Amino acid sequence: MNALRIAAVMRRHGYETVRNLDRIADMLLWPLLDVLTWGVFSLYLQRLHTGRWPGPATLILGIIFWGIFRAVQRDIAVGFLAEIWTRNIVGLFASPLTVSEHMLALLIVAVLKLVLPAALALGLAVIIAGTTWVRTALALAPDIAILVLSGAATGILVTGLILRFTSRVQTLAYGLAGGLMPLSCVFYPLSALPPVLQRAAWCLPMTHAFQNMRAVLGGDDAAGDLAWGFGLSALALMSASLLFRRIVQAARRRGHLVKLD
Amino acid sequence: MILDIQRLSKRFGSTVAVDDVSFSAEGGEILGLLGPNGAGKSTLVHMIAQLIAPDAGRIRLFGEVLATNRSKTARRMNIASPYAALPGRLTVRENLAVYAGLYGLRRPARRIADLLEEMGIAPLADVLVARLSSGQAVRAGLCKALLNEPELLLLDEPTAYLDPGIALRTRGLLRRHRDSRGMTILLTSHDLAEVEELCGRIVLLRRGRIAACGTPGEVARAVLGRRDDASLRDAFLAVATLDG
Repeated sequence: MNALRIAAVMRRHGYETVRNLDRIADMLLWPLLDVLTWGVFSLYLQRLHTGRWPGPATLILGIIFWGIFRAVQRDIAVGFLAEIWTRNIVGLFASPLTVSEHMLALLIVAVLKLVLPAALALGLAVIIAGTTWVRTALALAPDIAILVLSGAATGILVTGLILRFTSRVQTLAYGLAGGLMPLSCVFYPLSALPPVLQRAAWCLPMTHAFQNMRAVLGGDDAAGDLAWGFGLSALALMSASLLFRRIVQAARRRGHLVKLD
Repeated sequence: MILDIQRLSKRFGSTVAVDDVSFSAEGGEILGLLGPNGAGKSTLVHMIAQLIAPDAGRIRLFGEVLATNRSKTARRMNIASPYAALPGRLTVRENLAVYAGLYGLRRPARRIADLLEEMGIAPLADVLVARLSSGQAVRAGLCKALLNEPELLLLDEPTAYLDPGIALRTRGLLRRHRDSRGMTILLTSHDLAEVEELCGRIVLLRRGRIAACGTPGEVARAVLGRRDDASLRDAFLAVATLDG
């Protein structure tokens, strides 16, 4: 790993981000609109509900945390797609930059891009739902780590699929997170899923992050979910990285790096 | 020897792109790869740049086997290709700064300024690449290719989009870099005058195989027979005609 090369890729995406309205909207506008819409909706439900219900916090944190997973996955995949769209991929792959350095740089950029919108979304959530839940939210940092790791794994997987099947499957960069959402138990417990889907959902690290989130909000202990979340996300990240490495080798054999349209 | 290629082959499905090709290039040499469309020139260049993996054969660069020393050899070479472009939302200077980092250049500002000046695009340094004409973008790509003072420079049709005046200037620049730094250049082009002017030796390809190799005169005579008036242009046309 060479820090200078990683910094160069980060610099490239930094320049791109500040000049690209799509990326600015992805980073700031849509997350804030999500929090606003769902935050107001959750408060409305809270008013209708008479019993004990951790409603606003569950909904708002669900939205914010899912946004973290989605943003990391999307930013890694779109960061790679941008090199295909601009035909910069030939220059990058002919340079000394390694695949691992490229992916690590994209992950760091994705995490850095989370900081500003996360701060804004948290501020907006405080305005909507008060501050009582903020300490709890901070206690959920391990869940954020699981979602960043699993977002990175999914992003690398999508990038590999784009490299394998070319930009015909680029819609996955934006759409795959949405496809995984029903199985990730963002807003409901694992037990709420039909039994046939529960096994598949259990295998997703995101499910354990959200199970833990609900347990913490309900004052319960869910250390088991946390451990499974970390284990599965680490496994997913390693598997996606190995698969991506193999896909790059196959792309070199097929000549896809030169003609990846 | 800077570049040594032995029995290199590559197929894409049923298409044979490169078939049992062997040649070498010495330090400071400008070697031309010539051939009709589909002859395998770009595939060869991209295999040397490690963008395409060969099916068979061996490439040695700077005495190292390419397949096992990618990062090490990549630092000492560079490429300009019509398949490559620079990101449009970055300025020319920003793009070059990014590539300077990728090639491990520390404090590259002076080097970037000199190259932009040499290539005649210094006034465009802070213009977004998306706003450049195709000729200006090609020159920006050549700046990127020369950034790390490569010992081996791979140029795939470097002057294809340049007007004759700029193309002449670019050829002069390449010769200067070769003379001052002993850079080896492997160049593909359809411009026969350019190839004759720049290249000491030529590898003429046809359907992935070497049809002839040597100085422009030797290649012409090898293809056309021992005629006094044999020209490279006639040899190229003869090979291209065979392909129909």
